Amino acid sequence: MSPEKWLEVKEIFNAALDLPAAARKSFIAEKCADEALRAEVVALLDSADEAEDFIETPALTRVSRLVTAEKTPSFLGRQIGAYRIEKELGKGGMGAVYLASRADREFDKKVAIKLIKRGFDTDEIIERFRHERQILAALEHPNITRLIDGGSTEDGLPYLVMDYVEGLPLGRYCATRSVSLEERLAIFLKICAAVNYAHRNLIIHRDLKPSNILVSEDGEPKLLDFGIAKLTSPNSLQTHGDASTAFRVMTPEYASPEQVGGQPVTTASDVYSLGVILYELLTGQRPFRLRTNRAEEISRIITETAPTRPSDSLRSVEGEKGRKGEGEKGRRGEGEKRRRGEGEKREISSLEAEDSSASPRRRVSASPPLLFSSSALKGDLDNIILMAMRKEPERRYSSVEQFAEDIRRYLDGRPVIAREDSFSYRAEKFVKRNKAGVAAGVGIALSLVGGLIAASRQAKIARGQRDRALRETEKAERINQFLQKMLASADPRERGRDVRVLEVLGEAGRSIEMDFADQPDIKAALHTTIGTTYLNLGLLEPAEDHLGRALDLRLKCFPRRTAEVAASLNNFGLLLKAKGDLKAAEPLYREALEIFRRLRRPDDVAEVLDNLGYLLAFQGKNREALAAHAEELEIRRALYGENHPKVAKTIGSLANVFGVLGERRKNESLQRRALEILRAFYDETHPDVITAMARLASVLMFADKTEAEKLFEKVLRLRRTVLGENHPDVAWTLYDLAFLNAERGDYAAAERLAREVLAMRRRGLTDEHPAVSSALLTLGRSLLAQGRPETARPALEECLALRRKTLNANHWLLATANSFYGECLLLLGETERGKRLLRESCEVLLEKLGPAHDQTRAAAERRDKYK
Amino acid sequence: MSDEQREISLILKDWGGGKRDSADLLLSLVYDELRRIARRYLRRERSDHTLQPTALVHEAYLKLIDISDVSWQDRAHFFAVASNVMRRILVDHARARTTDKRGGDAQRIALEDAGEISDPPDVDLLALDEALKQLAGFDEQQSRIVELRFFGGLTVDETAHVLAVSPATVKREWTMAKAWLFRRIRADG
Repeated sequence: MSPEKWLEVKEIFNAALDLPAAARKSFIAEKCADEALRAEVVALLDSADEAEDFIETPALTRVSRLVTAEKTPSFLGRQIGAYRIEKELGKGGMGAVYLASRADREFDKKVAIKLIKRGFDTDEIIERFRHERQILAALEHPNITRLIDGGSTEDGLPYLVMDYVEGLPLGRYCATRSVSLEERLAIFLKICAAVNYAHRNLIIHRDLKPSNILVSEDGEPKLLDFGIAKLTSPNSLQTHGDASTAFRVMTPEYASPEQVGGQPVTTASDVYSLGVILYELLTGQRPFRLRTNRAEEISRIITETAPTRPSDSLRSVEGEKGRKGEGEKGRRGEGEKRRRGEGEKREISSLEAEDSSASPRRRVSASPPLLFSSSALKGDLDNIILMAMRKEPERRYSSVEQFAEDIRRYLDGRPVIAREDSFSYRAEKFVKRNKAGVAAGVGIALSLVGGLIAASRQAKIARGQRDRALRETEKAERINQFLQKMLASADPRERGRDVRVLEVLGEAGRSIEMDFADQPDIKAALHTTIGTTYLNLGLLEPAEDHLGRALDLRLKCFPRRTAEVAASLNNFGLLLKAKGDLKAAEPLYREALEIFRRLRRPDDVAEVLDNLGYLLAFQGKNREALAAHAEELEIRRALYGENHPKVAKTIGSLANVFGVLGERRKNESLQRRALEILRAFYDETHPDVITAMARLASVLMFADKTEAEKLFEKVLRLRRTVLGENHPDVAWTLYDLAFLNAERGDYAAAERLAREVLAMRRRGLTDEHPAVSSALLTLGRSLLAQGRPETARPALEECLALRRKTLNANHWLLATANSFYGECLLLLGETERGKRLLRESCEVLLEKLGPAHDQTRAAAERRDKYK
Repeated sequence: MSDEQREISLILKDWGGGKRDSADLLLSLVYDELRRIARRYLRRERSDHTLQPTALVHEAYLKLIDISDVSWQDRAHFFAVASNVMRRILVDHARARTTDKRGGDAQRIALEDAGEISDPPDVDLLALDEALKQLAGFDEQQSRIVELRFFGGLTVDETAHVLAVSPATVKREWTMAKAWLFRRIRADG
């Protein structure tokens, strides 16, 4: 086909396609000059219909199925070593297991032969096979499959010959017969014994999962597949398989956080996997639902999310069943009084799905009843399972033996050693792992969810409010799920403005509308969380969008004087402050403050006072600012005592005002105190600690410039790492360094740093941000000092324009800028105007800051220089 | 941003600015990463994970590109390159298995499916690749559309962005390309 010819075909084809089918034929006959052309068009039109679905599904969709669809040549009847293959027992991704017997019939012994699938005989997999053989050869235990032989087929495929275990995988075993709680625990204890034996032989299994455990008819479990097991022998330097290999081959559902995180794997990892297996064995549910293929997401879910308590997990299934039953019967009646779920038929769905590949239809068949209810798991068993599954290896049972011992204690009715993880511990760990902006977002999300849960508990206590409690719990649960979904793919190890966090936030932001269309209150809560996270990341535009929506929604669906509205007002005030619009922020803070006061919510009152105080100090209303922070301090000390991060924050704010007032000593000692408190709680990468350091550095600027500079540089480094290159706080720090250099007389350095701040305007820093006008002033000042008044002039003028826009006419910050501008004009020959500005600015500073203040003294010196 | 990320971002910018030869350079950089990820998907032990259409390319994209530094145009270029790479990987994979010495009869491997009837018919990747090469001989654009849509998993709109044409054009050309390829493959089969 020539391109020219094709164009002709295309033209007629497209035109014909637009016509109704009946009209096509005559149209084509008319348009086509020759028969070949006509035939081509007609044939194409014909196949166009047939080809409607052709290649519509992208190739990648099926990539994963490629593997299973592959035709494996049949080994049935073939002889391998001394054995003849009789039937296929099972198939995995990389190989298959066959039933075989001795070909020479010397012994009538049945064996299982594991064979690598053609195409998967890569060096890596062959190495794994060899390794497994070596490991199995070293183990002899009644609950571990015994290795009999091994070798290579004629065409070089490696194989292993093992004991044939007549039995079902653990999941199916429990799903197809009635197994009581005690029986399940007994089987589990035997599994523990096998793993413990392996551990004592310095072997870590690393891939424990129900499908790797076969249970014989009489309830005897056998451990299979030591394919990625690892020797822990201290003198064996050859550590088998690096983290990435392990990740690729292991089953993520049962993998420990350290495994998915590529951390060193120890016997504690097997303890974790055993915990997951026990979880599933007793609830029929997996602790985590991994509905994703992305390694980052899987890793996030496993390392970050707390599993649902086993008893709750089981109860939710019972609840489903209960509701279904209700629908069928119309009413539950007396059953209500009985323990819910007891004796009800239930399907162990996830366990069975694990093995369902062999016979997918089986899943539909009825499962025998579970002989125990969720209440049996509540307490000890919950604690035991969750202790084994703790994120930090060192907080789990120290050995499989200890784990098993605790189960025996439970069975004997003795007190177990496992204790519930405290919520505060979990929350703290969670936030600690998610530093910086994300941390703030998560922290808020947690407190939000926590708040709802607390609310629902209170409601529960009140009689006659059960329905409402349920609704609240449900609401909390939905928010929780949504947030987890949203935060799941953000990688905590990537610090700073993580690309994926942004993607995820964007995605979450978009899906709120759809997911919660009918629930404005949840919608508002989520917009708040997302908006606040953006705000903490310094991304003001999306922050404004979300916080604005949250405020609108709440004003619509809550009465004005509610905590929800007040919180939104406060948040929007924070946003306006970040944008530099201090004037607009003030009334919002004040209204929020009034609402919180009426509702008697001291914690919230303190929070808003902190924000308001900052704003007042910045506006030069120092006395008012001091009063606000003093009240805040009083409230927080009463609530939290002397040493608490929140108290530290208040002390820092208070110190700041003293700084503005020129009370340097007081400022310094308070800043040191605040930093000291915070350091006891967080490490150096916590945003609050960094802020405290920055504040201290600002004080030291006047006392010890070298120490101040060192501290500022540290702050800059930390902020860049934790908050990202483009965060407004980075701009502040650069400015601080610029100012410090100017104070020291190193104007070239000051100029360079100030320009660095200004360059950040191209990367999202708004003009209105105070760091911009301050940098412009320092730039102008440095240029003046270097004898370049003509270049300084536009910088100073821009600074004044910005400050006029955001500040009151007689603000001291305007006065300082005017003082320099006056000098600039004077140097450029506009003597009269310059002198006037130098004079007037001094008067304002004298009035606002007093005669002893550094700014006043500096302005006076400047004025006197040109007298 | 890693050095690799930075390099790729720069190349994409170059390319966006009209330096066509940077495509090859980009290709070689992207190739390894995609290969690695693809291999992981192909080797995955469990088959019950359904792969999202563009998950693979997106994953590579997220790994290789600093999103905050790349415009949509650059992104489009990246997907164009990635689609081509995916075509190579998938076709190579299919070929490797047909030429497998144990295969004997060189039976063509289809992108077969676990057996659900409702799924669209199988696609013979090698035949499609051949037919696509022929199509490119007289209609380069149509063959690129197929590459982006089928191998890259791009939507009509995304494809339109990459090729800088209207979505309507993409739809029209896509319909015709499918019809031709379908007939071509059947004639051969």
